[in-house]
Amino acid sequence: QQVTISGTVRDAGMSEVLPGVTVLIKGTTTGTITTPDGTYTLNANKGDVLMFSFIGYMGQEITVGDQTVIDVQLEPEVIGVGEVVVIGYGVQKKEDKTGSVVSVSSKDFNKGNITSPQDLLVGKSSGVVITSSGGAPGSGSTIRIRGGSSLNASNDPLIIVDGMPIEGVGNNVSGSSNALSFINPNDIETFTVLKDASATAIYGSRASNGVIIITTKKGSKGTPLKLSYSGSVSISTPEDYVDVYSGDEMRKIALDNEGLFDPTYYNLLGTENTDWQDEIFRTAISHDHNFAASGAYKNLPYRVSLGYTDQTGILENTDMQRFTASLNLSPSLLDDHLKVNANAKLMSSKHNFGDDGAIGSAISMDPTQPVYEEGADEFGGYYQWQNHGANLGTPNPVEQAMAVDNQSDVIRFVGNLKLDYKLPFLPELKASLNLATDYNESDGHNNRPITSPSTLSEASGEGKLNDYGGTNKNNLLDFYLNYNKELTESHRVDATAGYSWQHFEREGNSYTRVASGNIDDVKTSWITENYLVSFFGRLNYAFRNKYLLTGTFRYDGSSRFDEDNRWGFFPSTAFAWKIHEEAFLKDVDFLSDLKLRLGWGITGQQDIGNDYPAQAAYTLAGAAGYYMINGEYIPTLRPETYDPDIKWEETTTQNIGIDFGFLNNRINGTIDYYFRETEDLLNTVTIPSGSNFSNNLLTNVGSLENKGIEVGLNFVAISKQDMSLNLGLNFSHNKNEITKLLLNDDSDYIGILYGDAFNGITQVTRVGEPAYSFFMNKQVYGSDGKPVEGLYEDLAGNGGVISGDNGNKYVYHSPAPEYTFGFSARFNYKDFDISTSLRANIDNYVLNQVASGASYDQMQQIGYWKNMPTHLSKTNFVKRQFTSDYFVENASFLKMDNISAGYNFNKVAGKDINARVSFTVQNVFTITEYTGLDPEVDEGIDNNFYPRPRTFTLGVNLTF
Amino acid sequence: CVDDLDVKPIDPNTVLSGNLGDDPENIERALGKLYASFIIAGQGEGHDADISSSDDGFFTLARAYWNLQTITTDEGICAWGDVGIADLNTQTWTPQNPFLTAVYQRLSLSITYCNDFLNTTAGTSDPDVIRYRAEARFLRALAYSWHMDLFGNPPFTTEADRVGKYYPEQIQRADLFRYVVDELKAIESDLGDPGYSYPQADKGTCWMLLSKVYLNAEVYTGTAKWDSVKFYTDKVIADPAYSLASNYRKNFAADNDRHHGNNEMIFAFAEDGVNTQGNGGTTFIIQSSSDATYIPAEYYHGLTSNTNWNGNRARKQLMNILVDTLATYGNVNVPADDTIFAQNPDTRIYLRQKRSLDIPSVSSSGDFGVGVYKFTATNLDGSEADNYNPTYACTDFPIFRLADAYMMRAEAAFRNGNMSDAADDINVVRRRAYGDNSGDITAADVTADFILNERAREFYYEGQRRTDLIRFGKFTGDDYLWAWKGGTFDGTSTSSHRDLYPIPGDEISANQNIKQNDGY
Repeated sequence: QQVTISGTVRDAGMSEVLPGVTVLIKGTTTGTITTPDGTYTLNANKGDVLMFSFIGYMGQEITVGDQTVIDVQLEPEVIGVGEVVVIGYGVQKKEDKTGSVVSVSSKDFNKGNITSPQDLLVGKSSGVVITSSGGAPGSGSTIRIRGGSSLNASNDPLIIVDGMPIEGVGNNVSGSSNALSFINPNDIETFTVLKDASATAIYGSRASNGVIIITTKKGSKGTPLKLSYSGSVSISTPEDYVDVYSGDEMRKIALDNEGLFDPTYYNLLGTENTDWQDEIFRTAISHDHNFAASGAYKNLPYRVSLGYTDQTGILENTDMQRFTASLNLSPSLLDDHLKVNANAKLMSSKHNFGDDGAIGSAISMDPTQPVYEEGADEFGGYYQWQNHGANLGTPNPVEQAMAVDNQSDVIRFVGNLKLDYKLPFLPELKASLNLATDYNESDGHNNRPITSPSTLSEASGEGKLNDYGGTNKNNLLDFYLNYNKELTESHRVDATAGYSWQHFEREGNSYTRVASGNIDDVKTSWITENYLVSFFGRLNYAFRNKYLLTGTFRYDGSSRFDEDNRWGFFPSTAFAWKIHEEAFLKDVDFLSDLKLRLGWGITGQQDIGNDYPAQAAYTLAGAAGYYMINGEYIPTLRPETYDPDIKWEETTTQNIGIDFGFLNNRINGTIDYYFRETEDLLNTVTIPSGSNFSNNLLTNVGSLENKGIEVGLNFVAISKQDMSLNLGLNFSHNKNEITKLLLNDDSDYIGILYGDAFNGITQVTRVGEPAYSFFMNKQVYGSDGKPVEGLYEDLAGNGGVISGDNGNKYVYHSPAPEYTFGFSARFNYKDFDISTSLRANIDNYVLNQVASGASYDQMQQIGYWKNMPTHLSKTNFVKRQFTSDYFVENASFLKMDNISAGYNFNKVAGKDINARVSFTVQNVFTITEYTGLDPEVDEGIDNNFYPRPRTFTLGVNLTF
Repeated sequence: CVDDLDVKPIDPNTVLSGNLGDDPENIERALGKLYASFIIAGQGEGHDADISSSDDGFFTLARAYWNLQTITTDEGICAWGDVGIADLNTQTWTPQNPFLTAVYQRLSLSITYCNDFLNTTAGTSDPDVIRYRAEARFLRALAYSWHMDLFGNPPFTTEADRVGKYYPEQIQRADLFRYVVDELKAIESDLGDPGYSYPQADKGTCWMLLSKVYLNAEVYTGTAKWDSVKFYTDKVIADPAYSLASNYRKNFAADNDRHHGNNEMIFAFAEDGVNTQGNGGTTFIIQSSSDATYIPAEYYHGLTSNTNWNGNRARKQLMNILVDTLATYGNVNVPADDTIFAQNPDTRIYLRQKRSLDIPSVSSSGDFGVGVYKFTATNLDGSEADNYNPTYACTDFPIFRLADAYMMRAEAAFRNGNMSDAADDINVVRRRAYGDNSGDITAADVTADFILNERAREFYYEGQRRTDLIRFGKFTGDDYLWAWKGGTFDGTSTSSHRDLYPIPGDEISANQNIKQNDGY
């Protein structure tokens, strides 16, 4: 018998009325939605069950009895509870995690014209520093999790895409600048960053630098077909140029300083005022289109996506086109006992790299000269300096940028098939098999016409042709068993054990010759491989859902090492205590989460660049490395250095962390302290002469430490029906220190020096200091506060030449930031939203080599003139002072990476189409005292990298 | 699947130690490396150098060795500002000097390559391989003799030592002398006959190295061995395989090898524009001595690509030795308008006056000083070399020429008091230089200074000068001063401990068994 039921729905805590709550009669499609005053009316039969549901609140079910008024108070859901995070070989409830694991999902990703997955994550997680290598289209980034645990081996984290560990960044195929470019950022669902050893140690010998797990989007069961399109148009402009002298200023400097210059070369100065940077940079327009269809066909959930990106760089003649396609099928078979998850991703890209050397040339090129010169047919119509032997003039930057043909085509396919089978007789036991393959092929060329000057093509008037290519193959088989059971109310176990096999093969080739003929042709090719075979296991045990214990191990075998050193055992353990579940805190209402985490583990590093470091082998010479034996030129055969005893690096990590949440987790956060110690550090050291086949050997000799603090905070500042404001803040501090470097201790050992014969030695890795510290002469300043040219403190006290003398240099800061901050905010009001991300690095130091290379004596060269940055007017140096600490600058900065505003249109044109329009600005502003162009310099030496543009993006999303 | 971990390199360019013998050509290829390690950077095209350093080209063995032997003396001075060059110019080097570090490490590396070759070929009965093994032992002895000459007390390893991570023991100079001499005597019979397979070492090469170490025996051991010098130079001079080239310059042109009929060339490290390329060796000597204004390489040497490095030139004192101003100009200064010293009858003068004979500062432009163009990348007759390359010379880097056998025998005769024998040998060399007997000297003219000067006239820019000056006691100290010696314009006295180079700082750090040389 039908009765009319009415009532009001309120928030249980605040007692505010809740509009928009769905009220549904269970088992039917009959229902309604509460009105703006929180009330509803609906007809139901006695005995029906009314289901009240609303996002952000826990659902409630009430059986209709005799009453006609049913008022309901909904309890807010504790934020984050019930979410799962992906961990190695499985998933875990977020509240049960024992390690330092951060998950960033699509709603928190950076916005704008983003073509590279890692850019989504910049600034979003404490302890993760991502530095793009510059503003070139499709360029890659350096990712560092908790500093680097290695010196010579890779410091890149292990990246796992849908269960497939991909080849490290350093092993990219030639012609591909970004290891992750095969993933369309629009296809990514979450990034999970595993930071401490208790989380990463299940990846054993590859886990020392952290693990990033990328999960792509899937279709879900029981959902109808959903189509979506997103597209954007972006305009990128150069933010700023390096301030250099104009033609007029240059002429004045030349004429005013006859003492410095040889006036017989004044006739080489031209009459122009060419702004070379303006000539090679441009405003660039890019566009991006993505189409996705997802849903379920009967029992087959699917998702298909297609993407096309056409990105144009701000440097002339640089661009990238990329096509991506992905398919995901995730059916459940055999009465849900067999779950299948199949992924296929295909990427095809065309990359035009141009010549970013033009950026440096545009700073050095004489501004008194024109871009084009009549009659200069020999140089393709461009003005060029005449060739005076080894004193090669600055190439015309416009010719350098425009005339090069430097392109590559890359194809990549990554696919996996994962089968999870729940045993019918023992449903808590699950067997998983994952088969995956990664195939990556490149084909590129880098050519110069015969009209290019010899500085660019190496042989004057002959041009250069270079073809290259590469193929990487990576195959994986994982098999593991998982047993997950609540034994009694107090005991829960989740155990995993498995086997993994992975094979990496890389090959490459290069063919270089002059364009005018066939002398000097150099063909090289190489092929190399390695295998990893592993056994692993994990046990999670929960006692009374309050005390959580995790133990993992991995037993890794790598083909890189000799039989005796091949196998490594990497254990970890962690303990977590959910303090807020204790009786004494049960009634503390404002505390929704409090957990203490303790973790310890050992991880390794085996990505040391060479696949055969322990084997005695010989390498055959290429052309030009022949010698005459018995009257014939034959290729020589060289024994290569090897260390029969080489083995893993081992990093021991200790981590202590606290997770906390207040007010239903509206305020939540984590604090972690870690101490990481790497032993058997692989270092390329100078070895005793005569003991091996080179002067240097990569061997296990050193140790280093990283310690740091990380804080992550999230704050739901406003959470109302029409309005919300979410804030996120993270902070990290890491301190790196080398503790041992040599085979035998030598207190006089100067350290590993970095630099070259031209720019001098400017960095050192030394015991007691951070890796890659700057190593400079100590500048003496005059009473006017200006650096006195060539005058440095005599630190060794021996007199003599001090400038450039390593014995007189000292360690002066390091490129790594002391502190990093990330801040993000997202504000919604009705259909309008706005979000932003900011980032700050504190006490990161940069050697401004653009400025240190500037001196008056360099303006005039034999046969040509050279421009300088106007920074020179500050120092007035006559000779270059490459090793002065004056040029090591504090490059602390605050950057607004992006700001984005969007508006959602529901039911466009009265149809079931939702639209969203957004406008984003990237690289909005930078606050810094650094005098160079951009304080964010990968590796800390500023030497005219491709500048990051400011980009304005208009985006449209349609779903229907 | 665990067996997958037993990988062997799959690159066809990589040969495993154990598989070396599978292909008999590999033995010859490995032998080729022993030679090539002295003259080029690595495995081709200037890339993939054998040692890591800040510049592959700078630190090839022949080039860095030439620097240590030349720009530290009156013969050469380099204008470049690269780290370590000014130290060598002025005899103010420290153990950190990258050139001496490179020479030290490369010599030891060549020795290690030879040790490995001897290990992999041990027990052979193949007569060719037995000869190759003798050549490897010769090259090892050559490397040790350079070590002995430059550093005195190097680390000592033989084929009995393993390869890996360990600390070789140091050997003392006099002990090393005995080892080198014993080795050379032991391999003499296994080597090919004189001229058998140039540019590989043969019996004549072995006699020359024996002569050379005996010539300097007093420096190395305190005991002179002039009779032994005579014994081995006699063998060389008597051998019909060798004869002086009729034209002095034949020894420094692209066709200076035995294959092009130069029977004066006893041993050289081969260079080739196509097959054996590098920025060391004669390519370096030619390019670094060329400049756009006075000695353009395009014009003088036929090199048109990456030319005119404008670094090396001679100091005024070398010019004064070569250009006999007494005889030629009546003991007055060379007139500035005679830029090529055209009035001098000695045909060995390939010098050119630059902006000024004086060099105003150690690092002043290569346009100052006395230009040298003795080595050339063209054939003797000016034609293009067989394997011509616009960047790299085909000219072999001479180590032993027959003229040196005459000069060494003359010096031994002089020391033994046989002045007329000495004069006769010197006159053989001078007659070729003057084209007739107009430059002949008499027994009365033979003095220590004359012999030292004659060696400069004959062998300048061939990497011998430092050793010669030390043997005559004139490298350090104030007996003989030249421009910028010790760091002053007129030259100043330097300490005698600099007759030996220091053991590089890198080695002292790396090997606890190595003791630094006195004074450093």
